[in-house]
Amino acid sequence: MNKNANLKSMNPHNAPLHRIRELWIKANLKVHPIFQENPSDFIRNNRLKVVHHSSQSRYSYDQSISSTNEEITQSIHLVKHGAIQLFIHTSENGCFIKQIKINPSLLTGNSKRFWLPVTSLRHIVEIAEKYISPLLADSRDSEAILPRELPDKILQSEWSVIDFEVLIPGVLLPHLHHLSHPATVAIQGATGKRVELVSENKELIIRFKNEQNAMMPDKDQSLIAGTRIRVILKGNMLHRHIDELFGDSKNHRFQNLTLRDILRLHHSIMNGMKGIYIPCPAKWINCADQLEAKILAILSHITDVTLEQHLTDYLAIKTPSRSTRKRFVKEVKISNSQLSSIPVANLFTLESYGIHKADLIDEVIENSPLTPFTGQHDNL
Amino acid sequence: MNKSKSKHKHPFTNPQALNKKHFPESEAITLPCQPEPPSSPEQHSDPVSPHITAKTPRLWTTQTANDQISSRHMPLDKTVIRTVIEVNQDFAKSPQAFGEQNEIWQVHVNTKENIVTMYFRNCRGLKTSIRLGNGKLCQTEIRFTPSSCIYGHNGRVLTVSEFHDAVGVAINRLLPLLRDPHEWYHLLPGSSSESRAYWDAIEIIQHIEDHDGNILASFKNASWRNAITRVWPTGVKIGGRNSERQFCIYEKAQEMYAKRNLTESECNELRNILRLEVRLKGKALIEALDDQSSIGIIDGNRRIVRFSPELLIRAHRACFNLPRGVFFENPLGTQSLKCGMAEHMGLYLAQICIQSNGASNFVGLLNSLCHYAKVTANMKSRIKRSALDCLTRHHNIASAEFFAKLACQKQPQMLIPSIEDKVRRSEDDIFRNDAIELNYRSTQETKFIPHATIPSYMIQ
Repeated sequence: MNKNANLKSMNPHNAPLHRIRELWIKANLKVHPIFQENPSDFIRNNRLKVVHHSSQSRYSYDQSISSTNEEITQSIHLVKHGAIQLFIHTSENGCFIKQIKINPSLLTGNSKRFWLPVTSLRHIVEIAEKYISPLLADSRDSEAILPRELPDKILQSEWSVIDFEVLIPGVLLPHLHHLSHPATVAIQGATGKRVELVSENKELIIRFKNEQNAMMPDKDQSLIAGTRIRVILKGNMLHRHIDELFGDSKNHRFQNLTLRDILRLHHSIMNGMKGIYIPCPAKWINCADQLEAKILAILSHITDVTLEQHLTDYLAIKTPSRSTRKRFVKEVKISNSQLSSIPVANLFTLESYGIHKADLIDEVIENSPLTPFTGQHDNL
Repeated sequence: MNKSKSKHKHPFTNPQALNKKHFPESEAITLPCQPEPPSSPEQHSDPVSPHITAKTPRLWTTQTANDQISSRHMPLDKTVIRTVIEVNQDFAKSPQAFGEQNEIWQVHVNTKENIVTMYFRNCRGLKTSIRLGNGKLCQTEIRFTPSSCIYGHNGRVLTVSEFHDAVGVAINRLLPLLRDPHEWYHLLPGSSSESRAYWDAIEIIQHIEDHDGNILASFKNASWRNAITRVWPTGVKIGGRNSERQFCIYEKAQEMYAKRNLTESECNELRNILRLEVRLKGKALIEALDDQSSIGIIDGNRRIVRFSPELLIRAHRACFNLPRGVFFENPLGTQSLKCGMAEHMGLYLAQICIQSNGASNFVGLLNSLCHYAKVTANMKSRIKRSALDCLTRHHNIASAEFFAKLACQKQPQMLIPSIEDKVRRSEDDIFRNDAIELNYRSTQETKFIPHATIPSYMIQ
């Protein structure tokens, strides 16, 4: 059967949504000296959109050399709580922004629940850049906020965590069986509402979650149900996947990552998923008849035992009359014929990600001029 | 510390060395202490004055009354103690400078919340968070894992005397934080009537050998009320993350290997050890350890202030009797009277789960099937009851045998020399006081077993 035709029949909406949950950038940017001396004054005088500021000091004592290492970590939330978060480390060498966390949904939308169709990664990072720049010691360093190829290797930033999510409407988690992935150890937390697959070093996390009320960003803010598949890629695993995906152009692509690249990353990981998807047949919805027949039919799909064996074993327990047995066998066979299954990997086609959509801007950050952002988010 | 120095300081050869750091021998120390309500005839005949002196050091090779309890296990893993203490002024002024002068490895200061978190040198399994306020008294949370404190890992099941040593090590580390070290009893629940400390969360454990994986497979089919059951290839968790009572059944060696505490060969050697753990907090903790002697009133609330090994074992057994579908139960008491479609289906699903040997777990399978077949709540409950009846009949081991006294006493332990060899304690490291042994001791008289060997963590 044609893969896409099969998918369409199983998923009436057939419009997967995607969003970037979080982007982490590993950086090394020197912070403004006045901020270092007196953060609250600096924030007030420069009218920065800081909504939360906290700090934690860590002192570790090395008795062998009788020294104390002091490290102060400050956490700053810009624009909204969680929208842009900066981790600033202060040590003997100075005060540096070491990590930048961006949540595009919060930065561009109003709520975490929004499934905002992010079409441009550049759009998001430019907003972030605008808010982070005033904190830097040297305004020229603002070029290094976002990962791009720079001659100065010390300043160069890079993506450290990519947390991306896809929602497949109409596909429910209880309909996915025997989920596994070659890069992960085992299923964690198989509760029926959530399944998590984690790699040994926790650098790859695949999280399946039932979504009952995903809010669409349309006028009516309509709600849809489906399964959210969140992929979190970190550190070496992120590098390895980009290496595998883009081959020789790895370094270039890694520095200049686009939304299309992130979609391809998600696709390449989900393509390796093992397991089967058995949708509930339309005839079964709102029909409570022939329970036993349906259960046996499902069991034959999700266990290693054949349908015939299930029938034999179950009838040995039930011991029905000859006519009931005949009727029951017929019902089971009909129920079984109504079921169909496909590999889970087939749910994730390049088309379903909308990678070839016209409205997806395949931008390259290195070519973008660093113009001040004057769009609709200026009033944030 | 070198061996000759330690020999000199060992109380066996130099008993005056005890607690020299905090209690110089020239000082006559009297500490307020309330004895636990007498629960055994032995205690009645041994009145303890409300003020006791710092205890004489333990003589490992000498038979003492306290050694009678040393053969019993104190089956604890992670615990949380909450208390209110009056902190040292130097600490309140500058936690970082204080950390430098004392046995503290790391200090984290959260300026917004004004919370100081400390990790201690040479003392795994002890973490303290103190909320510094304007007043003298500070709320304190002590996360204490006795086994990690003295063996460097939590794979051991401690005996009562080892537990006392672990408590002694922890108190010794925490004493400098107090304004007045004589008020040490605020660090250990139940050690005095004035103590403001109580046990807030406790993990009670038991190890069993599971050579063929059958016991773990049985637990994968367990069901307890509507609690969430999460299943891994090497473990099961029954109860949600915020649940006050959570059951964790897992292969301990695999967990330690994942955390890089064990090498692959050590993991393979110890992989048969299955840990049955119940995590209790809040009301469930009070309910499980409710006993005349264990409950105290702290700030008007009923709290757990002390326990005996017997109480912990009783609570562990009581909790593990709750999940159904694991142990053999009397068929007459559990068999359903009805015999309809739901009962047949329940039987059949149980049969599938048993045959799969852990590959299919009953709760997951039932939820999945009900989702497709639109099974009503009543029908689902009948299927579940029938399946659990079948599962309980199938098992040939009853919980009474499973948690028998002998099984508890002979439980396997994880001895990991590569970690344990790194931990060495001298008597100076361990704070000793009769109140510790008095409040955390066995309530039953046991056959005398002399403590003939010095524990591996003590400097010999």
